Amino acid sequence: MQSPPRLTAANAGAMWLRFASLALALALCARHADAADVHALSGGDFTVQAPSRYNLSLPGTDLPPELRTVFFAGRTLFRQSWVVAPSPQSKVAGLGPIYNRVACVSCHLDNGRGGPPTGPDDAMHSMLVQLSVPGTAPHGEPKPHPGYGAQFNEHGIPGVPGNGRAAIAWEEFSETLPDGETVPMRRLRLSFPELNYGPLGADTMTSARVAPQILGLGLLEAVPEETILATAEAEKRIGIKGRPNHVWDGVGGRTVVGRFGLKANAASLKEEITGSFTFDLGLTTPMFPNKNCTPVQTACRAAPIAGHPEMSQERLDAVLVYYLALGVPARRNLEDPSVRRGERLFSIAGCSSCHTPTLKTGSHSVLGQLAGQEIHPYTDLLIHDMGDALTDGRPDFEAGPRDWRTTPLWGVGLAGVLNEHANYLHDGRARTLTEAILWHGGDADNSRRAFIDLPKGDRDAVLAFLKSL
Amino acid sequence: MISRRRVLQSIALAATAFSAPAWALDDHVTVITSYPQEVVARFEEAFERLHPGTKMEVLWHMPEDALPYLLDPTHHDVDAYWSPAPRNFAILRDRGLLQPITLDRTSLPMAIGKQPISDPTGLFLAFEVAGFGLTVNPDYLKSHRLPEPRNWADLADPIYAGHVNFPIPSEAHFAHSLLEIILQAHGWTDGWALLSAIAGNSQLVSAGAFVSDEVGRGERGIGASIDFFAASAKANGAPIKFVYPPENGYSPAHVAVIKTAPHPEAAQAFAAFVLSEEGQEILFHPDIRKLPVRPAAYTHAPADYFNPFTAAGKTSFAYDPGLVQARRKLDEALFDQMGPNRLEAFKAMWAAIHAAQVSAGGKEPDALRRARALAVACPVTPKQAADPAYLKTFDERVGNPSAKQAAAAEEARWSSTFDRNYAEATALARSVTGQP
Repeated sequence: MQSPPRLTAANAGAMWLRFASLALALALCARHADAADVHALSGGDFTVQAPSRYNLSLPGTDLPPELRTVFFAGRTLFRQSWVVAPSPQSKVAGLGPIYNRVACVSCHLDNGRGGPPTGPDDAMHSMLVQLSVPGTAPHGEPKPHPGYGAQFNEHGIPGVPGNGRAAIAWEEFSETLPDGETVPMRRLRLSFPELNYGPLGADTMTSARVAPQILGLGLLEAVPEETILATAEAEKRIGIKGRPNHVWDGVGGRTVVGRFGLKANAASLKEEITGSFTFDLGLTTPMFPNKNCTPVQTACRAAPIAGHPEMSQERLDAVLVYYLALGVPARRNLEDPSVRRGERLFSIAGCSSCHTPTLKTGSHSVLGQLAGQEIHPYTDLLIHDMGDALTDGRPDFEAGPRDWRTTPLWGVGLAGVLNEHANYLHDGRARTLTEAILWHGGDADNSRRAFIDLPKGDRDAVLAFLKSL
Repeated sequence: MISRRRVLQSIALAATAFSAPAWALDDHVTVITSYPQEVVARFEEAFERLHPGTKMEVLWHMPEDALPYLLDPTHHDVDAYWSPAPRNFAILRDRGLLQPITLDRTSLPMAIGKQPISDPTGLFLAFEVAGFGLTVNPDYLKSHRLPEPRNWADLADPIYAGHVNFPIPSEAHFAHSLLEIILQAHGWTDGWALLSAIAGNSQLVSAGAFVSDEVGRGERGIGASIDFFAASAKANGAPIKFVYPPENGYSPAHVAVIKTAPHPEAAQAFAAFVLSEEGQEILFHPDIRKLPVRPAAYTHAPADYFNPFTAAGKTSFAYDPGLVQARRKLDEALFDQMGPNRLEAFKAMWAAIHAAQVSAGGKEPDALRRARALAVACPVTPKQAADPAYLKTFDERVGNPSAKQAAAAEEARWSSTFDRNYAEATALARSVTGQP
């Protein structure tokens, strides 16, 4: 298991050089002092004022009546619990045969992020484990496990064994910052106490992931590919190695720059949504017309199917409209001097090099209102080497085991409000934002060091800024 | 003298009587439910935390699907049934398919006021209840200079025309109970008259959640609804409030242990947990907002949380849930024929009547009186509505060819009556205003 990058006496000498650099950066970045005001409308026209669980599940902007109807139909489907076929409720039948949860909202409660189990006896309520074996599938995607598939789905419908049981244990430790503050940390240990289809095999790669938040995704989809590529070029010039992840677009039938998924491994929301209905809930779709069963899962393969497909394109498109039209919370507490100072320090520390504050959207073929928006997602949509401490050991297209897409930070301040928990990073290991920052390595190592070198008051200001997002 | 230590021990012992002990049970308990994930996820997490090693497996079925599944003698995999489906529980009890819930029921009332909520033999127990009332947007009412309605009859006031959402019972599962509250409080004939006038003021909607959404967005000022949609929306930030009219009824959800439960101990533990103080207090969650059936739970309720036990003491109205079940299919069919199936004519008629009322300036000319009488006339008599054979026709129309034929014939008769009455009422009302 990897530990977060350590501050030791051996590297203390470099600390003075970093202070000098920070002072220079302060002078150069002084113009950011007033940038906070323009960032208040995080989502442009899709900004939700006084954000709450209620209004973050409504359209982020006024929609024409016909689209609003589709939006709410999509929301109903997102919240729908699915039943086992055959069923008189044929419209919502087709769950499984092997599945993760019975509804999208099971993992994405209130459109918020999921959380990991508290220990080995706690079930994975809003977490899953992705699987792959060495090599790639036909279009460069990860190669699924021959016996268990692309994802370790624990549940099976009556008569069909699920994959088994995955368990998470936590190894607690702590980090002491230069000024003496102790930060509790933990690292994850994944095991499989029950395996119903034989051993996983020593070369199987696993990646435990919590469900991401569902907000602002339409706006991110409307960012032109050229913008993402230009951002990568600009970062190169200042020594940051953000890269696009070129992925196969199953919808368009071509290679594009990925932008969704924790490793920017999904080309579009349409593909992401379709994949979720198939691989999480087990429903057949036009893109995936066969049940998600491997050759050895014979009971799964023999189970009845509710329809061809069980989830029609029309209904998938309704869920797409739901995703596209969701808003983004407005910034909060912008008048707080701590928040403003924190935003300046965030920039000075280099965090905004990857957590890009501002992007502009282009056109969108489904929801025209997404076009021409200035948005503040705090992501460059690129993948970065985050160091050994955050590796999951599993590549995905061009993203290596240590690579992760820069997480959009809009909404991060509401993590404990939308959900009853606040867990950060891909596997939810970090329980506080400080803990999450301490895990940053690789491309982000300098910024991490800059953060921990700050006096406590300045670190609190950075946290106040993050909580305003 | 009793030592302080003994007192504390007694308190601890008493506390554990209301929560299931945290010893290892079977490795899983299979529960059939129709609760949405917002409810299931929280109970699942809490139950599994209390019973590490016992996984709660959920089979999600709507009530009409759950019953055939539970009646199927080849299905031996279910431990507990947990759902808002009173009719299903009664059928399962009558077929001898449930076993008694063994927990101590001392602090669990069997009724709210005069309305029974649990099975007296203990074969199924109420887990939560939902009330009915009016979702209101105060800002909307203020901007439209409308008073806040306080009871069902207020919704029929012409001042609310165009400002109300009302659910269609055949499409919004809870709405038949809401209908029956009005019918039972006002009597069959006057109740249907009131329903017609309310529907005439309303946009008829197909799902309860849409009521709170539209009222929350300020598209309508008032929505007749089951309480938890609105209460949850309000708790999560919607700018609405919920008004409980004095005449109310409570729709219970129940929990039961299946007679052939393969994991009976875990099933009993599950039932005990959802009815424990800890389990009942989960109902206060902003995403759930249902009404606990354990009165002691209300001591930890959020501020201004509605308490049905307190409210029941303030009214003499006795809601009969048996009648709700008996008349459900009749009510749904009749409401559909009254409004949704001839919506254009229905709306035009009420618009003409409202215009005539304005034109008459507080008087009631004979034409207007006759128009109103025709508008609200119900083609089903109180005697028919009380006749078990008549009700059975609608109850059994799916699957019984002769019942299907008889129900269709009655609907044709109603349809003809409504068409004739609405045309005449519209003409009469328009004669008051001089419209063609």
